[in-house]
Amino acid sequence: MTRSPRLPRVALAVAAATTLTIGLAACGSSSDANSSDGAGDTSAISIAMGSTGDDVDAVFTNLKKEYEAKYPGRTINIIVQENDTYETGIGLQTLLASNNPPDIYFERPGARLQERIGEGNAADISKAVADPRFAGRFDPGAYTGMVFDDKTYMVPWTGDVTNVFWYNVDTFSKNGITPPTSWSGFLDVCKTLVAGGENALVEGNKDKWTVGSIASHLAARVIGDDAYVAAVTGQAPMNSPEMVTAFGHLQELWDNGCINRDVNAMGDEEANTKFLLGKSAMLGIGSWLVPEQLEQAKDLKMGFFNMPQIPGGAGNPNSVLGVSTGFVVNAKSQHQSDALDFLALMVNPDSTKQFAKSGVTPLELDPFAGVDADANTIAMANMLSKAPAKVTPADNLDVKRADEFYGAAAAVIGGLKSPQEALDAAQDRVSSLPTN
Amino acid sequence: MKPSSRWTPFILLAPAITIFVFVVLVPMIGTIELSFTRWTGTNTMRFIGFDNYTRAFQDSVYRLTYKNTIIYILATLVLEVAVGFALAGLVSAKGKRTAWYRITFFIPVMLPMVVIAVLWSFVYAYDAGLLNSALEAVGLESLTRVWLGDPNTALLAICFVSGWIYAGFYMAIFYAALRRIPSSILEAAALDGANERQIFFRVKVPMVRNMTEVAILLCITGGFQTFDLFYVMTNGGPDHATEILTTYIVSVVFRDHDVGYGAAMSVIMTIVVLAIGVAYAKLRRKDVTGVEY
Repeated sequence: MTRSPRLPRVALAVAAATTLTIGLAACGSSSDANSSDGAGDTSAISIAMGSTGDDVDAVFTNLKKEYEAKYPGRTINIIVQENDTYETGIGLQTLLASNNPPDIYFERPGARLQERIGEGNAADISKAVADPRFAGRFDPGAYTGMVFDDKTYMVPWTGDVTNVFWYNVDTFSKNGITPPTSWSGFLDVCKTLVAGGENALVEGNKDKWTVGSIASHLAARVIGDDAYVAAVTGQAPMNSPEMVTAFGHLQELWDNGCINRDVNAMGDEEANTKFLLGKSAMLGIGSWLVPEQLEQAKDLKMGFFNMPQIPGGAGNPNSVLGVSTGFVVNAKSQHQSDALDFLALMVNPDSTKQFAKSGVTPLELDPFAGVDADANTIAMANMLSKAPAKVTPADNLDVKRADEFYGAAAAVIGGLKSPQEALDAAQDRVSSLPTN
Repeated sequence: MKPSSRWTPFILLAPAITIFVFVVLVPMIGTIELSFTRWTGTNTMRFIGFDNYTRAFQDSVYRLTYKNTIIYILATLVLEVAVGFALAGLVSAKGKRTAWYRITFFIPVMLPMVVIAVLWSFVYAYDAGLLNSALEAVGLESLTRVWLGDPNTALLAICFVSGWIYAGFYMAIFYAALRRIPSSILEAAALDGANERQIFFRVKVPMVRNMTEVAILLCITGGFQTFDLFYVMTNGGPDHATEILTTYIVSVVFRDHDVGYGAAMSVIMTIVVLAIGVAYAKLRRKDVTGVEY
């Protein structure tokens, strides 16, 4: 049998072409990242964030249309990820490390923003925020945690109360109870609910931050905010006797049957759903429950109360656990000016009204003027703005140490370890963390 | 047939080698390089020598992940390989509808892992979960547990799910191996008076020893690679009771932004898996009586 001499040559040509293609594809992406499309007035910018609910996502979609209509030739790509993925996991870090990082991204002030600044991912926007589009829109306090070395790196967006205790109004009245003001009163409320056959308090602590937030506030109330910050940032031991006392209050929730037995197996969204379906009398979570409730359980009558007062505590008995959020212009963006144009659109009075109606708490001055906003949203905003003291959740202070702090809280709330054991284990681990 | 040119074999191998280099070799070398640095993923990389390795050996949670991974592997050797073998024996018996059983046992293998993890999270749910509800329905309320929230049960609960998924996979492997046994051998055994049980244990099992050894190796290496089931069901909790190597490395890299440290742990894990593979290869006996493939 004679074979065509062309066949092996064809095979060789295909093999060589395949090799060349694979090699170019592997090497070619970095050159794509360096190309600029900012010729003339055309540009494409991207903004990344975690999802805060369909209503809020819809506002951003409207803003995109407004921006593209106002600036013909410019487009904006909105990247929305599942919230836990964006904030606690893979999302933002991967986006920032990619060859096409977002031009604008959602971030929290304080330690996390400082990390971004150190990485070179946050642009100094001091000059921009002094111009009329931004100046006068915010109280100077809104920029707390967003200014380092007299330079501003973030445009404020919303303020969140990170943890209050939401309660089912109907369940409370059915059991003849009113929102407690003291910790012992809180335990009595739980016992009354349990005796009445209700699930008292539900938490979904699979990712550790929900109960971790409660632990942050408890710690600040018991040992004082300065001591709490020192413990979480490594300037003081985490297993001090005072901190053990604070965690003892968490243990009381478990010991008295106040909290769901599967607290560490349940995710936060599942716990939210359980509360919104009326299967639990109380839920400890932040102000972002409001847009969820408006979307999923409009008929649910829910109220809230702040962390009950703990007698003898060194912290302010009326403190509020809260954070602000904002958007950062990426220092690596080639369209920083265009990015700031979008942010200016975001903070103008019309957009502020849209965000206020969607259930979040904008940080602009008087955000609810002329807005028919939900009563709980306005109450959250007032609570945050009038708080005599604000406590920052641990994961906004030091991510690695916060994980150990939250892990200790999880062990205590689930009845797995005593406060002393849990905090000793946490302190052991934070002691071995690198200091630089 | 001689190649037309001495370069022909190299050119024909080039695509495969190129893919191997870019997909396996370059990332491997990159990871080893990263393991000697402190890097958040976006800041400037800083060389720190063996600090990450020292830290890994002193890290109590990292050491715990090896213990959890070994427990997982030992459990899945029983729940996946042994059960798979038993199922293969059952479905290879002559009878009607054995094909139906084979398909049924194999279906979990085809389902997406995340779907399975969410499904079983509902089965194991404390309130109104299928398992606890079933136990209550038959009067065994005392056996109800917070299956995924109790450190004493969480790991074994996940191992059971893994067995539910992969027993079908190993059943398929062993079924193919058992079918390759020459029927003349089985007939000869039957003629010699052996019953089904004796044929299975004294003829079939020894004859598929090679495949059994491959299955065990697959199970061991797969145990080190598993991630999604643990991540979705428990994310390493409660209190690191289900923390395995992969979930811990992912949390260190993506939550703590400690890429260098995560790389060092990955390198150590790779060395451990390679060592196990080499030791296993040396321990395997050369079997001349098994079925050749």
